[in-house]
Amino acid sequence: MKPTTELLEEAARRYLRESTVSPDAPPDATLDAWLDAAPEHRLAYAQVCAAWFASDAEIMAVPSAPRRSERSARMPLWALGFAMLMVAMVWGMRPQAQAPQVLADGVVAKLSSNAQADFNAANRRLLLTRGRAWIDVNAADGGAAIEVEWGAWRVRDIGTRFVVDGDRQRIAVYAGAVELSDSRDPGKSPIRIGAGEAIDLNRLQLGPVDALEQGLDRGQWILVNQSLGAAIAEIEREGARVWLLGDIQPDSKLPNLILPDRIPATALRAICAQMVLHCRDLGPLGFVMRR
Amino acid sequence: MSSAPASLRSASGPRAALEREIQTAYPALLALLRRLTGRAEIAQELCQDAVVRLIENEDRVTDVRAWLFRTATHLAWDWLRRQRVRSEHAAAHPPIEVRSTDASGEASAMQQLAALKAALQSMPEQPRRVFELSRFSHLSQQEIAARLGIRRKTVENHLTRALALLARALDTDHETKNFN
Repeated sequence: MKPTTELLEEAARRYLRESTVSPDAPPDATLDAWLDAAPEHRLAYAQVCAAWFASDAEIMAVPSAPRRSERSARMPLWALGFAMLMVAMVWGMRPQAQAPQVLADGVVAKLSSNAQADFNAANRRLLLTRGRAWIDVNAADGGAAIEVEWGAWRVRDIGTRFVVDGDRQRIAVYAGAVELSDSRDPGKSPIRIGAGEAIDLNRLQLGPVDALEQGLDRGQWILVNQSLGAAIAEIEREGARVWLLGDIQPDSKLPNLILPDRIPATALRAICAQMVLHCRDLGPLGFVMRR
Repeated sequence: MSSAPASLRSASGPRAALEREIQTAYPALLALLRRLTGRAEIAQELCQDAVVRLIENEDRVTDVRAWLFRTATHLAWDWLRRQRVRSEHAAAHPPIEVRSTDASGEASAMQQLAALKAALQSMPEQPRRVFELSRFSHLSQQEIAARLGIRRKTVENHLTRALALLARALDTDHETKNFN
């Protein structure tokens, strides 16, 4: 049953009276008693509050369509800065990390913040000495091959999108395929890694692309609240770094933005096992995980 | 956790500015939602939900505080409605799953905005004027009384009736939303 007009008016009267009280004033016990007296009172009061906040000048007077452009015009630097920050987050780098580079023939390389890499255009070889290189080869360019060299390993693309992760000693393939060869053993047949597969270079074991690799490819970041401090500590115990946007305060009620960097799949599983999480896919923004 | 781990760093720039705005609004928002729902853990959950939605819609938000309060109070109202539906049906039927309504749903929001605008426009002149001066110009009841040359008690009555009418208008799609 909907609240009656009389009940809404009573709720409105109480809300208007409460809204004129100083924020520092002690809670109004009379109002709380009225709210506790019947669920209908609370519902009517919430409905009145919702109507009050829904009817602000911006909403009631300004058409929704132009708001984006108004905002852009008002704060272009803000928007630009935010976009740059998001790009940096999306690719799992520090904000001051190297920007994505178009190497040749539409090949895009994105390097992690700690990466050291050198691209030789003549032989189309990217020499990765440290960090992570995410590669997207534009197959529309005729499949011009690129090779990534990391230590003794050679990763030759076959029209594909992949990551060579020196930090985790893994190679993951998102689309197409690559061939992995070992320069220390030139007679050995290359290992073919297909879409959705990853290889652990320590064990030379093929498996599925893990959660972090999927995240890197999709540009995910994770929003957690400070109650996940224990999980963060666990991630760190496993030797991974956690990048935080915003301080964790002991009494903070705010969620914090955390960008995972090299979080092992086991740690991600540990988080999910320990916590009841609501996960929401925010598309280009990544996942939101909350208790 | 008493302090941030060494490997964590603080935000700076636009993100930090957004977080500061959220942090400023958050205590009052949480207090209001605690009062609306009567349950601290639900208030916390809904506040966080509002923050998540803010981040989802960040590029469209011009007034962070207003947006947070608008969304969070709507979420609280929505939660209370679902609680009521559950309790009403629990007596006569086995437990049913009531689909959560989405307060940020574009269609629903537009529908409610249209209903609010229509309700405001169809109000008699003086209650509408009183409401606009209070809500949009942020005048006190005393200031409105002085400006319109009416008694403060009359202002209070107009404001009460106007707000109740808008609350009623907000509820237009209530029944169908809960049972879709």
